[in-house]
Amino acid sequence: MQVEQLRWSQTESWQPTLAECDAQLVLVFGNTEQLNPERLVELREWYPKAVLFGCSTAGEIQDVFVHNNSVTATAICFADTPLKLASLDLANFSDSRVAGRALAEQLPTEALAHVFVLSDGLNVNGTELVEGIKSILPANVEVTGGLAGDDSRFEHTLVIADDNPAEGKVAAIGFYGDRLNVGYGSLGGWDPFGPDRLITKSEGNVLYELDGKSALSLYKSYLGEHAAGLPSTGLLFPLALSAPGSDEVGLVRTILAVDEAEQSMTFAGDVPEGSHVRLMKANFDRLVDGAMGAAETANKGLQDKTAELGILISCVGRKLVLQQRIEEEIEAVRDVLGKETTLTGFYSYGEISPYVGTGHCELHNQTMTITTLSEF
Amino acid sequence: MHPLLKRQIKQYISDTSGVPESFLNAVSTAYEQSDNDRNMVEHSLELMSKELTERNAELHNKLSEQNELIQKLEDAKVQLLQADKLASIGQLAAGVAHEINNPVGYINSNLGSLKQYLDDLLKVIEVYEQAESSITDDGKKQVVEAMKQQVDLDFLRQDLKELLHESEEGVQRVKQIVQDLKDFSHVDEADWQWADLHKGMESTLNIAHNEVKYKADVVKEYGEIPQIECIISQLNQVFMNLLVNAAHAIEEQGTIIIRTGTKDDGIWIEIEDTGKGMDLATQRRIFDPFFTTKPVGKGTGLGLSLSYGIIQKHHGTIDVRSEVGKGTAFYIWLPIQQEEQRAAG
Repeated sequence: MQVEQLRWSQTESWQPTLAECDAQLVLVFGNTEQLNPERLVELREWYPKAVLFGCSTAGEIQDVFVHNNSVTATAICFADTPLKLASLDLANFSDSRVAGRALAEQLPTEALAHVFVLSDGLNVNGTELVEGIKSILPANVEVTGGLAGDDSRFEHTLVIADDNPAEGKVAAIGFYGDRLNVGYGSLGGWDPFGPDRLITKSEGNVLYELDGKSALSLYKSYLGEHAAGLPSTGLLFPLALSAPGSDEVGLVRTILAVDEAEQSMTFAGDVPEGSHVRLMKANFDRLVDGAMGAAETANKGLQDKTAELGILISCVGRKLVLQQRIEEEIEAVRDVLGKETTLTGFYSYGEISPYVGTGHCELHNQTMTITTLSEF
Repeated sequence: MHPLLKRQIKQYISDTSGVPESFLNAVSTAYEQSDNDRNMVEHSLELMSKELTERNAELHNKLSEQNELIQKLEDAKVQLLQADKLASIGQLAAGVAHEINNPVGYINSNLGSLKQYLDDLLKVIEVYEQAESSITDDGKKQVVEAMKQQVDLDFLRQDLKELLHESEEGVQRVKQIVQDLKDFSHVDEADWQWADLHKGMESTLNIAHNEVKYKADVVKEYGEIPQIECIISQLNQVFMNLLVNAAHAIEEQGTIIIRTGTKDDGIWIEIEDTGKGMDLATQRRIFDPFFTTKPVGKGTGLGLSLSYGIIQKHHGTIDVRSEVGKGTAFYIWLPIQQEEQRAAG
């Protein structure tokens, strides 16, 4: 495959301006406020054959740099990998699981190699969406992807499915054929601390009570003065979730929204009653190590070949912690994948990837999730 | 600008004109963020310690509660075992009593016959004695006289009466004890019945006679009491317990006074002794299971606790008053009728 990258900023418009690749797919990531339909018009001029696929972000990744307030475009010209786009509006479906099934049903299964999903970041139950998608796909087809972001505003997220950026959408690209090799990895770097707590009242991905007391109050006490910054400051204390009856710390869950009236907190994925949770805090070094680890795992999937493209979907929470040092985690990925790999991606409200522990595809939070692609 | 950065600039850079402001801002911001991070961690640590301490305390309390509960369960278990033992003993007593009844029965009846035959034999001897005067042969007269002397016929005649009388009394006593034992151990009758408590007290006194007789004189000041609805075997157990305790409290010689009377819708029974008495601290604990003032090995410490339970079951009350050196009195009140209590309770 051939890959080339562009970036649009308010000051300099598109850089570079030369487009040489006859792309079938252009990945577009940008700040909600910059994802203007005009940008898409401009991209279509350069890549008339391409499907435009992307979403809004809490930061754009290109090469080893993290940008805010811009639009990045990564154009990919596959040698021999057919593609199929699927998309739908969440509003037309009773719940995220049903929507996930409907989305997957749009993709023919013969010769399907991999599915890459981008979803609205605020109006979806990520766990259910992924379950719905996986329930339709053949067992050997994996799903990676992410939930769109909106900086640390948590207000509107947009998805581009070869159309104008829109709220409330879920879209997927199916990759076909046997020439494409895909690797994936996902790692966090957050440590649980403090007492074990039991989820005593919750509904789907909405949490009400821990150990019989308001979960929101607990968060506020730990956040102290930062409580005013909820929901985005909630990223500082994700929850480590063990499934009911299991001891293993499996998943990490981050807040997406807070409801004062209901005294509830909405997470990106399910927080079932009876689960044990602990608060987590970021371990700076382990965040960067986590990025490295994810890259190493993603590399292994390619069986020692170099990745041609790496799509990095990293959680907005990591950005909040690493602050000015955010690029250290991208550089760590670069160190592992090598200089040849083109890197793109974004900071998200949730990452989709098979979970190394169980092998099941899950909605993750607070991770760096990497999908590597190489055509042989 | 962050104070640390200010200080560093002051110390190391005299002229900041060559340093881009954006750089200084970035550094200052980084310092601030670092401070915030550290504050956050410290705050979390504090909260966490507090939470863990609270949970610890909670666990401690729960543990104490649990231990208390375990202790209560163990106590209850022992009580059950004891009650079970008592029930077995009761059954044994009933069995033994039943067995004794038979031989006692025919001993009694045989004694009756024996008395009759002896009377008859004596009559014959009388007749012979009258005929004696008409014996002319001195030799024969002497033989008769000698034999009379040898067996000491006069004494025999006298003593026979007494022997028979005492034997009859003895057998009556055995019969009574057997009956009392049976009454006392009525294991098959844990049913509520109308019973006369005076009768129950009498039969219990009979059985307790041995424990009591060397230590105390029993004085009865009975009032007129009606029959009451009760489980008489259980109440007898209570009386037994109090009587034995009273006897044990008396060190050398003393008195046990049993009084009865009516009050409100019930009857009262008081068992008072002139024993060594108890102080207030002891009085408070006597109904606790296993509490005893006796040396190790003597008594289970369960008697009063069981008695308490029985009185409670009868919806009655049991109280104690005591003075060290003077004596103790137990006062029991029992309702005449149970129905209302059961309906109300």
